[in-house]
Amino acid sequence: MRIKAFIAFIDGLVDKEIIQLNLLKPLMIEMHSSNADDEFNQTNALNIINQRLLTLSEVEETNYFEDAVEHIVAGSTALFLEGSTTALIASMHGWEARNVSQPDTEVVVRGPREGFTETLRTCTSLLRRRIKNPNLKFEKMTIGKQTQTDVVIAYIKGIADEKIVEEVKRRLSKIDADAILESGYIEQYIEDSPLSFLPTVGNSEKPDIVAAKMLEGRVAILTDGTPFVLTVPYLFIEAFQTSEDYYSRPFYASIVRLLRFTAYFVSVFAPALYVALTTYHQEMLPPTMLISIAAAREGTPFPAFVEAMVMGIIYEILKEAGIRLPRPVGQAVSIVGALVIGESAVSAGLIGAPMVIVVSLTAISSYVVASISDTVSIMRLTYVLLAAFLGLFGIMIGAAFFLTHMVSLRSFGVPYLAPIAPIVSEDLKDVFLRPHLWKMHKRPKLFTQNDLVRQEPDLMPNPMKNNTNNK
Amino acid sequence: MLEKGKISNNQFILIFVISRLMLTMAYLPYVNAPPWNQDLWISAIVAFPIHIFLVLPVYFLTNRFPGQSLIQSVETILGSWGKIIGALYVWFFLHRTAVILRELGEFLKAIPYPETPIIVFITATALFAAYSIYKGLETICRVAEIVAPLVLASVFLVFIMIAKDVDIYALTPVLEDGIIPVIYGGFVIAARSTLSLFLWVLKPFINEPEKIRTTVVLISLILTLHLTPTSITTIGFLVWNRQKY
Repeated sequence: MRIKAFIAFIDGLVDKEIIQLNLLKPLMIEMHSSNADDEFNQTNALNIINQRLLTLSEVEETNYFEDAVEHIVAGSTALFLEGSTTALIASMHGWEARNVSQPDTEVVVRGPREGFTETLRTCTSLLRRRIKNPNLKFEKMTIGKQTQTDVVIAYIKGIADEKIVEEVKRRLSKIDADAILESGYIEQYIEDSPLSFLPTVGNSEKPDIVAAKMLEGRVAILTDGTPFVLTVPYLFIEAFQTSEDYYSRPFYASIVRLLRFTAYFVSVFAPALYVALTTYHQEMLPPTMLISIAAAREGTPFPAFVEAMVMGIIYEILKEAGIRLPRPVGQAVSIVGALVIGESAVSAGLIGAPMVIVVSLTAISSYVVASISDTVSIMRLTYVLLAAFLGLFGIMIGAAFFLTHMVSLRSFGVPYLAPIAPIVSEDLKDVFLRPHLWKMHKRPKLFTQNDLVRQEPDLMPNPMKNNTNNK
Repeated sequence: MLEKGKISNNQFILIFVISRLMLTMAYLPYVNAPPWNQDLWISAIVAFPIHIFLVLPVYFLTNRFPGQSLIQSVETILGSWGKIIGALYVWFFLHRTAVILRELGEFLKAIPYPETPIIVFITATALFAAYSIYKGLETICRVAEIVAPLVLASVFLVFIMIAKDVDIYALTPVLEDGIIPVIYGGFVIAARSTLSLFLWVLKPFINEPEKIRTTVVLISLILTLHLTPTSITTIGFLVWNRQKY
C-alpha cells in the first residue's frame, strides 16, 4: 500500500547528500526491493521505517508539532507520514563551518596549534581526543529563549568537585536570557562578582589548556557558536600560568613566570610611581637620576600627571584603533603611533622623554599577562590619579583597597587569590615557580578533594638505576 | 552583622605580628620606655616569657567560656554590669584606633608630606579600615597573609643593610642600672603588645582553639626575634650613649 509522506528541512542547515543516501533512497527504492513492502500498513509504517529502513544513527520520535518545528529550525530533518500522529526527527546537520585552526589569541612556540571552532561538536570532540576516558562527562543544556543555544558542561567525573558541578548547573539553569550569542553572555550571567572589575570566569581557545584545567578539577562550559570555552573556578594566578610553562623544561619556565609577575607589577605601577616620585618624593631618587630626569623634562609644559594621563589615553586609543582597523591600515597606525607620538612629541618638547619610556614599557609589559591586560589598564589609570593626589601614600591606599577587594572575591566558592591568600601550602609550589612534573604528584587542593593523587610521589627519572635493574 | 568567618591559627599569628610590627617599626615607642638605657635589647628578650605570662588569665577565661567573645564573656561573668565593662572595652578599641590613626598621620606629615593637612591621611586610612571591616575578618586575614611576608622580608633586609654601621660597643655596659629596670621594661613591652586583648576578641573565630598555646608561644617568639635585632641595631646605629635624653 502507498502512504503519502513528506520531509521538512531547512536548506543550508542539513547535509543533502546524507538525506538522499540514507533517507530518500531507502524510502523510495530499497523499500520495494526488500520485503518491507508486503507487511506495510497504516499502523506499523512508522516502526518499519524507523527500525528497518532508515540508515541513520540519530532518530527520535515526537508527537508534538511545536517540537518538530523546533527541531527543524535547529537543523534536523522531520519525516511526516499521512495518518500518523508521530513524526520522525533525524539530525543530519551539515553546514559551512570554519576548520580547526591556530587561534590568534593564545600563540605558543611549543605546544599544540589547534584551537576550538564555532561548532560545538568539534569542540567536544577536540576535548574527547585529549582525554580518552569515559569519566569525561558532557552535559547538554539549551539556553536563550530566542537563540536556543546549546551549551555543554564538561567535567571529569571523579576529579571535579560535585558541589562545583552542581553550582555551575544551577547558575546556568537560572539564566533566562533572550539570546546567548557568545560565551561572554554566559560569563556575565554566572560570574560571582558582577560589580568587580576583575574576571572570575576564565576562558580559553585551546583544547589542551581546557583539558589541563579540567584535569585539575575545574569545570568547562562550551557554547555553540564561539571558540571561547569558559572554565570555572578561575583564580588570579591562572593569568600568570601558560600552557607552555608545562611543555618546556622547568628552569627557564620558572624564570619566565617570575618575569611575568614583574611585568604585571611594572605595567600596573610604573606610571603611577613615576608621577609620585617626580611630583612628591624627589628626595627618593638618586641625585644623578634626578638631574637627568629634570634635564629631560626641562621645557615641557605639562606636569607629570597630565603627561601620564595623556600618554595613557593615547596608548589606549592606539591599541583600540590597532584592533579595529583593517589590516593594511594597521601598519600606518603603528607608524603614526611610534613616530608622531613617541619621537615628535619629545622633540617638539610637548612630552618629556622619560614619560615616553615609562608608557611604552608599561604597554609592552601589559601584554605579558594578556588575559588580564584590560583590568591592568583600569588599575593603572586609577593609580596614576591617586599618585597625582597623594603621592606614594595614595598608591599605598589604592593598593590596600585593591588588595582587600581582590582577596574578598570568590570564584565558585574558591577564594580568588588562593593559594597565596589564604595560603594553601601544598599548592604554593606551582605559583611563583614551575616545579618538575614528577614533583607535582598531587592535584591542587583548592578545586577538589577527590582523587588528589596524580601519580606516584617519586617518579624522578633515574636512568642509571634503571639500567642496573634491567641487567 | 555577626561575623561568620573562621581564621586559621597561622592567620592569627600573621595578623597580630604585622599589626605590632608596623607600629614598632614606625615609631619605636619602646625606645622611650624603661629601662631608658642600652639594655633595651635585654628587655626585648625578657618580654618573651612575660608575654606568655600576661596571656595566661585570658587563656583560662576563654577556656572557661568557649566560643564567647570578650564582650559576651564579660556579660556572662558580671551580668548586666558586664554590659558597662563591655562598652568600656568598645570605647578602648575606639580610642586605640583613634590614637593609631593620629600616629600614622603625624608620621606621614613629619617628613614626606609637610604641607598636607593631617585630616587627609586620617580620612583615607579610616575609609580603608572601614572598607576592610565591611569585607570581614577573613578578608583582613588574607590581606595579612600577603602583606606579612613582604613586611618581614623588608624588615630583615634593613637589618642586613644596616649591619655594617652598627656599633656593637654601644651596648656596653650591660646591665648598667641593674636587672629591675630591665624586667620592668620587659613588662612594658609585653603590655603594649596587647596580645591578651587581641586573643580574647579573636579567639571565637580561630578554627583550631586547642592549638592556641603553640600559637601564643609562636607569636611571642616572632615578636622577640624581631624586637631584639631592632633594638640592637637602633641602639648601635644611633649610639645610644651619645644621644641619651
